[in-house]
Amino acid sequence: MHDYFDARFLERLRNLRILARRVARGGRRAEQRSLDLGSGIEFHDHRQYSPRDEFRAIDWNVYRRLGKVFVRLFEEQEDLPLYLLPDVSASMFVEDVPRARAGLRCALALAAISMNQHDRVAVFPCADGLLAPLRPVTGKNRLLDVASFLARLEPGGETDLRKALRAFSCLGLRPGLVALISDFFDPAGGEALAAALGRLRHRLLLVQLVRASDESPPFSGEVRFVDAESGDARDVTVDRAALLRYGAAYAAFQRALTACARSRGAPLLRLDVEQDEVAQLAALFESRKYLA
Amino acid sequence: MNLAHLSPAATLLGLAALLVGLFLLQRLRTRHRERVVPTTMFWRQAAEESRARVLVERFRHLLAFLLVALVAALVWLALAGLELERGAPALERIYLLDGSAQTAARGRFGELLARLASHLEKEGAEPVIFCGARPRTLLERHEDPRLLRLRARGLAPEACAPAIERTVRELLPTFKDGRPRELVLVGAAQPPAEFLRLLPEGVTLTALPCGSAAERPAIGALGASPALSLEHARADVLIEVQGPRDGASLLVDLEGAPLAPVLAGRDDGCERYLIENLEAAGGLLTAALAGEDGAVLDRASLVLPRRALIRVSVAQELRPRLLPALVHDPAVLLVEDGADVACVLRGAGTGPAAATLDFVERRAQEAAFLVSGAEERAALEEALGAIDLGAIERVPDASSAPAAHEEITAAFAQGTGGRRVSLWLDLLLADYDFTQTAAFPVFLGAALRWLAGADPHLPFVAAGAPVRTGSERWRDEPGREFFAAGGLFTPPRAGLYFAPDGARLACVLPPSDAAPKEAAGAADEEELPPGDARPHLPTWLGLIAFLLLLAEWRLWRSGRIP
Repeated sequence: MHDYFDARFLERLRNLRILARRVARGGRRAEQRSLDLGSGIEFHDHRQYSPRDEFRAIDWNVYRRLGKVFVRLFEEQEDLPLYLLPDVSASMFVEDVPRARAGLRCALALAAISMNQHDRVAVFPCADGLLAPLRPVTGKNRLLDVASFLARLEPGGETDLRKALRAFSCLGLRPGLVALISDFFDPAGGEALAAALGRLRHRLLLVQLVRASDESPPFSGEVRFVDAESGDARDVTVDRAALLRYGAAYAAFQRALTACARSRGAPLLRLDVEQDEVAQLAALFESRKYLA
Repeated sequence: MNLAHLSPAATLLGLAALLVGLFLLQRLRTRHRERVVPTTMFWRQAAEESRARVLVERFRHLLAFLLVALVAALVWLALAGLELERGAPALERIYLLDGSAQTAARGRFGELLARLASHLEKEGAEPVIFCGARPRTLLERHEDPRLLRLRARGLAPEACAPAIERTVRELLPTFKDGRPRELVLVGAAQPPAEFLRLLPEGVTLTALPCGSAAERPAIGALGASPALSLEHARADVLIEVQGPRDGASLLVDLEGAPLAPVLAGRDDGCERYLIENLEAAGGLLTAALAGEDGAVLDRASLVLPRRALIRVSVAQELRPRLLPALVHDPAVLLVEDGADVACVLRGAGTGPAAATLDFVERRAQEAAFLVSGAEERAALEEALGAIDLGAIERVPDASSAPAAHEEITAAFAQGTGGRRVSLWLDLLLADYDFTQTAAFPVFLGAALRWLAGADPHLPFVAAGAPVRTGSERWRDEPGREFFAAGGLFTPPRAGLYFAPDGARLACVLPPSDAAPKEAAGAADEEELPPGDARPHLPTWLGLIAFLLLLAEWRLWRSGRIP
């Protein structure tokens, strides 16, 4: 798994930046703008004085001209906690180029971006529940710790995102940005995923790991498909009609996932696991062509 | 053996092959390339099982396979296991139905047939051979016993002696497999002990109990023979009456003229009557048994032979040689003129159409004896045998030829004139005189009778046996016409036959139910015998197989089997 994070890949992570429009109150000072006003250096607005406001914040020039007491508001620079939820279920580790490779590299890239901005990063691997997490770390020099943690992850069981998200929401973490990185092949279906996501108080980023063969599988003839997680075998005569039915089922799955992200107001990034992840992330962030 | 009646070994072999085939089919499965995919949830929606795959899936399921194997085995047994239902009997039973003339009396044949048919319908079909003038197979092994009644329609006893022994002799060479066999006599008397001792090991002879003969009397035999009085133109008639008379009277008439039969003997419930010195002029003799109320209980007819004296003229030179034999022949009347047959020397004094017995020079013909006439070759060949020339060579005196190393031969030749028998004059030399041999009177009598066209005395005319007649066209009592090529007529069944020239022929002892029978043909539905009420194993097997299929359908519907 160490092959996932080579030196060239780590070098390329330096150029990534991510900006969040909002961060939660009460965190450490960082490079993200906060709604906390007062201790920052960048003026934001005025408001009327209220008891317990600091006298230092009173704008005396305004009082002299208008005869009313206003205080000046400054934007606070605070950190954005990033909670990485990489899917490490068994389905992520099959195929020649496993989806876990792209998923973990994507997770590390997001961690690198956050840690470059002095944000805290925690990792909560999930499969049929939450696995042992990596406690929040911060500082650019801790990126290798995150990489090391990700590199030690082993394939888990079946995908159960609903259970994992329920467990995550019960942790009572400070609101932050949750990046759920998965193939979303959850037997429970899209409705269960939407319900689980609705309970999260965090900002949400969905990263779907896809590959071209998901939409048009390169199979034909008599094929026995074995589910990597459940072991369920399904004998199928893959012909044109079967491929059409498969395409229709996959399209319905994609539509359901998009609708789920849209209803939650979460960006949905589709990451092709067979392409360069860093380039895809950079292009997506720069163009802001999120699906939701 | 056929598909419907396999032997137990073949049935078991087929069953094993069937199960092996089903097992191989069960093992046969579509070879899928296995692919591990992240999820199969899309393929589950996309996959539609084909019927063939469903079949294979069904075979893979143990319960489904067992059901299919059981159904297939039952169907196979229903088709092939008929021999199993009786436990593969080692003993083969063959029924010999007596079809001789003696079963014609009192409806005996019908009784025998009904008894045999009901017996077979209970016990199962076995071969049945009709022992008439010619043995015929009425029923093959394992055929439906009801076919016997259909095939026996129109079947009647034939004018022949009991043919059981002859039939058994014909059957024995076919018993080559050493299988034990029981020959069951139906209606026929047990053959003599000498015959039974000659039967090979494993072949037994039994009789089907058929009860006693009918209670009413019947004419058991009717026949004519040359008169004991040695008068050539007369015949004696024998009538045999069987069963209790109970006041029944025997009425005999010749062309309507009543005759008085004389009781000649009585034994074992059988009375024999004799009528002597009847004129053998081709008359129709009818014997009938009439009850006290005048009803005819049985009737039989016989056409007497047509035998007139043969008028023979003899050339003067031949008289010393021929007259000693001719004067002792009761059929010969010596005349000077108007002779039926002329005995001449070197063809002298005979017309081309006259029947002649000619003594010729050796160079005139190659064979010592030559029979010629306008008849067909077959008739002439038959005549050659009739005048017994073949026997001459066996007579010691005659075999010593007049010339050393010279073979005496007989031949026949077709001609355009009348009948002619010619022989070498050398046969009358002093050192070898054929007329002095014991064979000469036999030859002379037979030759004169053939030359004169005298009606041969036939002890009986058997149905199915050819008889040479003087007519090619015959018809029977119902009026059906028959064509007898060359005069060789084969009466198909017992009864009276008539020729356009007035000649009559009787296959004696027609069945007592004298109504003409039609040939066996397609049976009307309403005449089919009633069905067999016994449990029929193949039917039950098929029914069980059907029920199993229903059960399998229910299991499939309930999802217990794929």
